[in-house]
Amino acid sequence: MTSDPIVVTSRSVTRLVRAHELLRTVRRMPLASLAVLMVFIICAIIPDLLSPHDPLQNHLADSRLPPSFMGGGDQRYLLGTDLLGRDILSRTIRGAQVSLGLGFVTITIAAVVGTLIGMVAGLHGGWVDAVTMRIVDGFLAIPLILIALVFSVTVGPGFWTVVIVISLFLWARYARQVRGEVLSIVERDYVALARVAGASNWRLMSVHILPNVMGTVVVLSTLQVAYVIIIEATLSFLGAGVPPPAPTWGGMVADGQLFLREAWWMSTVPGLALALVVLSVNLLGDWLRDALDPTLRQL
Amino acid sequence: MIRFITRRVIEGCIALLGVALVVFVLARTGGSPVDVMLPIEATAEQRAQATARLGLDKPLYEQFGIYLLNVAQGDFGTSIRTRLPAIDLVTSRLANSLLLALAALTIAVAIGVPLGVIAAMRRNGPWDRFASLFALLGLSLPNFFSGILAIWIFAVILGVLPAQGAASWQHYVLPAATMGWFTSAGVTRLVRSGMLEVLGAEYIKLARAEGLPERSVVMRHAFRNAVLPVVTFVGMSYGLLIGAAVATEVVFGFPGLARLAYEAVQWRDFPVLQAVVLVWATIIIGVNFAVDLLYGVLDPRVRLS
Repeated sequence: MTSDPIVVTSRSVTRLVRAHELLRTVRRMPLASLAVLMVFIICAIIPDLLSPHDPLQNHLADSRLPPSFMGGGDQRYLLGTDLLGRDILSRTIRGAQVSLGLGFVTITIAAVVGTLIGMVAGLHGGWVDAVTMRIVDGFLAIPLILIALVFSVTVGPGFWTVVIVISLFLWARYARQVRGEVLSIVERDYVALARVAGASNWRLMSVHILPNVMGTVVVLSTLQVAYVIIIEATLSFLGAGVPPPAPTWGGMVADGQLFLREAWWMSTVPGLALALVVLSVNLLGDWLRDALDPTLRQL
Repeated sequence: MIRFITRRVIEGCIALLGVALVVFVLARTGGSPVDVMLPIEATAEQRAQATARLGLDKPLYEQFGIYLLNVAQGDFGTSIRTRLPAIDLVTSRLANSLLLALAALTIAVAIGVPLGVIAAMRRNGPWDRFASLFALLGLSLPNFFSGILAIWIFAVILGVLPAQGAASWQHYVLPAATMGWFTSAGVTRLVRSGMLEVLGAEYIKLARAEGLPERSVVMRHAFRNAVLPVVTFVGMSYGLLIGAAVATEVVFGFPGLARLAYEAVQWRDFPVLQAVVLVWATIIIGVNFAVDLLYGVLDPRVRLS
């Protein structure tokens, strides 16, 4: 039998439309946000190669110097110095390490744990599902900042304290979203067929369900990055984040808070870095969500 | 209806019990408040005396039981730092916090709703672009940083508004605007997407085909249906705002609940921390309940069961 010419045409048209849609999506990619993020990611990976000074080194004689382009500025310090004469540019560059690194680690842990729990709850159903969802509701209702403060006092502040506290709450968002997806996936024919063919629950999850929820998990993760970075910065600002002398953007903003009148650059430079990163992540996340998974648009 | 209310009240009490237990255990797992109260050179005997006086030497479950009994009688314990009844400290700050959250929500709704409606009606126009930029900035600037920027601009440079405290209504403007901006971002986005969805519906086409004035189509037919998710969001935000206010209250030196909790954590002042969190959780649960009831009034399709 020869192939039906009409079918061939409609297929190629579909392909053309798809290619056109893909092109349109790619063209709408927020390039500026991507560039900003790349710069900060590079800062986070090789801060020492980029910093003009040691971010921890005091220069007490150079306390609170304004940025070099302002009157009274020093050529050696492009963005000025803080109270102890430490270079603000170098500290901002090193600060990217905490914000982005901690965000990455936290999101990874929360995504893995939350996805696993969400899949088990959705697949098992019944009382397992009911209990898990009540626990999820509970975790989503407790004020995270306050619990993180309690942790930092009782356990002691540090990188891993912050990671653990935030992921302790963040997994719940993944579990809820993934569980919802799984509920609809489980109803599909290919899952029923796999069950009939004798697939174990583990095989069902890893082969048939996981690939189908990955899109949601990726989109959700990009939307959570901004949240985690803001929470970390807020904790550092309140003195419950990664402790000094390690430079954090939140901590730097707190240091400069008392000197707004005399040395506004102390707070605003790290604050702007923070705002730029979060803004870029949000723009990129919105774009990725619209491109990959329009059903998440309400999030 | 009565069954619905009864069930929700019982569920609320169970949730409160859970919150009380979590905070109780968390607070006790860390160091003892005796370490903060007594000077470093205190003898072991003095420490033991202080521990016994505070009842910290009893087993944990007994301490929790005693605590629950006392709370049921309205006794939330005595602040370890100030020696005042914990509940008095909470009530003295409560009104400030409730007022601040209310002001922030008013700002969020007053800006977010009109902006969202205009953005949806003039899709991709300049107002739409402004609305999405406004929302994006609101979501991206952490509260503590936008708060500091607000102090820098309005209190330090322009000198038009006070930056610290809660002595007059002017003191509420900056912190409320800071918190309101973040919330209005969510309101703007929800109203916009809700309006866009509703404006494409059949009954809107019918209303237009009947020749109703556009103003009436938008306000009477579209807006009423688009506003439902916003009610839920605003209700949830009220509870969240009191919680998210920690950084804002610290920045503005605002005498509210969140800062009381922040100080209580640093002083390991368990009774105050527990009282704050319990009062807080009660408010959140109560507001969510009220929102659900309101939902039934606003949308006749929702049956409360």
